[in-house]
Amino acid sequence: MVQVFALLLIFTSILTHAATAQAATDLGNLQKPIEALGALTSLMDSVKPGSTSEIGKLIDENDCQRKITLPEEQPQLVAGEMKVSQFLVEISGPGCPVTYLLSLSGQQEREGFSATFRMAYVAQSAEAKALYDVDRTDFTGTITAKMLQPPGGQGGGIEYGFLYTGNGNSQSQGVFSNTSTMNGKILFLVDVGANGQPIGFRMEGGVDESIKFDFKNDGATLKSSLIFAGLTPTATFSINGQAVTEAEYKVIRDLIKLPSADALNTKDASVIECKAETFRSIDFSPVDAQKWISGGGAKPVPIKISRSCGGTAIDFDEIEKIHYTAKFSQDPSHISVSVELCEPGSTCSMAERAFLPDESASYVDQLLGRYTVVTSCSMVVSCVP
Amino acid sequence: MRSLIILSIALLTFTSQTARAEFQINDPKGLFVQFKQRFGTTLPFVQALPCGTQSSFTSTFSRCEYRCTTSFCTSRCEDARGADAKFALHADECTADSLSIFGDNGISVVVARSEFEDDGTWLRSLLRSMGHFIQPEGEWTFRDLRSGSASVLIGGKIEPLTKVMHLEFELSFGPVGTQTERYFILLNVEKTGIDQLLAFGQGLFPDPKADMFFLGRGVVIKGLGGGLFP
Repeated sequence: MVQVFALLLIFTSILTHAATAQAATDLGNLQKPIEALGALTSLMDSVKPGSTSEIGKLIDENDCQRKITLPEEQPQLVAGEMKVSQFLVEISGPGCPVTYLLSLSGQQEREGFSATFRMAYVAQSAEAKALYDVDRTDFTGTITAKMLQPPGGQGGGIEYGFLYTGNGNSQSQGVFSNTSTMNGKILFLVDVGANGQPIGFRMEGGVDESIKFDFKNDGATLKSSLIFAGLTPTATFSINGQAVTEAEYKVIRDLIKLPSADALNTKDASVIECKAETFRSIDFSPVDAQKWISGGGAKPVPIKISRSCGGTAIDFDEIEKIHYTAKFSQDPSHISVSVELCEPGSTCSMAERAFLPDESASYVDQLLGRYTVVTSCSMVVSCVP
Repeated sequence: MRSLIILSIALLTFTSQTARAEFQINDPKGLFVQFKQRFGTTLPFVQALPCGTQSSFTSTFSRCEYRCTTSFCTSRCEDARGADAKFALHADECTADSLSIFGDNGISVVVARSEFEDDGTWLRSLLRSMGHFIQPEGEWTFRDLRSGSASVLIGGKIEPLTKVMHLEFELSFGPVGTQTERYFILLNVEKTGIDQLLAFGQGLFPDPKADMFFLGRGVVIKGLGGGLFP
């Protein structure tokens, strides 16, 4: 159960990076800088030595020095089953077209941990500025976590806090800043009967956050609230006071990746999340999807999403009177993701893709001539709920 | 995930170990000759194993240490992490008569031109250098050579390789013929360089879940191979 708490932290942390003044699914003028921020928050995937990414090649071909302290060289910070890896990545040099720093460090405390993280990126050359709309960003954050023991009762819980402040410059939208706070307290309580035996359990607590995201001429305030009462959490999401759905949030969330050590990790310490998203081709053609994968254009809300968090998963559904099946399977050498669409009593069409188990990649297929399927896998701190 | 694996291996005879300088290689069936005749390259050494080339691999084990008593051996293998888990092999320090293959994980394999030309592959040099992974150095006995199967992952699609050979080796620390542990090697015989090596792992048959010292990046093993020569 504590793993759920960790997921919430990650989930809400990611949201701190993204906001919009318009509907959540239509980022408007903010689409470009937010996507750029997303690319920067996942930069570690792209800057490892030998990377074939544009920025990776730019770094390799210039006078850049990498200093990477791998997570395994520093102890993880642990509060129950909630863990964060400490790490440091620095890329710099007199002739280097970018400077980049990403770090997370902290200390273990008696009942939990406290940690700080920082990401700083500056595009120094015109070539580097051409890669991302955001040419400078610097943010710092703190994470604290503490295990709780209900007084006189059985069960447990966690209390955590997250503070994030950042600023930067978007070449299209100008300077921006972001401040957010989040506080969560969740208790897992076991009710005990007169004979001292457990008779039930429940959850109490919640997570509240407030995010203020300001661009030079635009901005947004984003809020979410999760309340635990009983066993099922209830959640509300809003942008500038207007309620939005969780799915709309996910569209934003998928743009941004929480900085973490996972891109440096080799084994055991991270999770690969795979998903299959199905769109109507009239809304999102295979060409649009390929363009989006390459970092251009916008992605609409899919009509169907299936996910897996490693291992095997299968999802049967019916979409627009078509039988839908998504299958995920994994072995040490690769992950398979397939989506099959079958029209009743007639044609079936399948997209089948394979991924290395530790690499982020996306592929596009078209099924039945009118559905665009994007299959993708990426390393994440923890899979989304 | 396991962090430590203990394997117990019964031996038929007593073995008392002292470390050798390098692994010995036995080939009682003349399988290297058969390999050379059927699949060995006729390319000149410098073209068959070009200097500067490299291939990427993953590994599940970083080190295995065998300890033997009068009646059995145990092996203690450590999980690979960091550069031991994902590494590249590079062909370097090339001369007309030899080159070295260096791994980011620290392995070093010296390939002599004469031996490469005798066998048509650099495999014997690799086997001899397996002390990087396995201690103490023992003996490899080439037990079988048959067709195998493997695929590669290219652009999100799994493409079968058409010419894959499955080589079966027995690792022993005692007298020749002593039963110890089986290892499999899969080679793509359409290649001649470092990328010829697809997989090298423990077990009688290739298995995607086998513990491996080498698994080529993007190589997909579906399971049992076997059959006639392709």
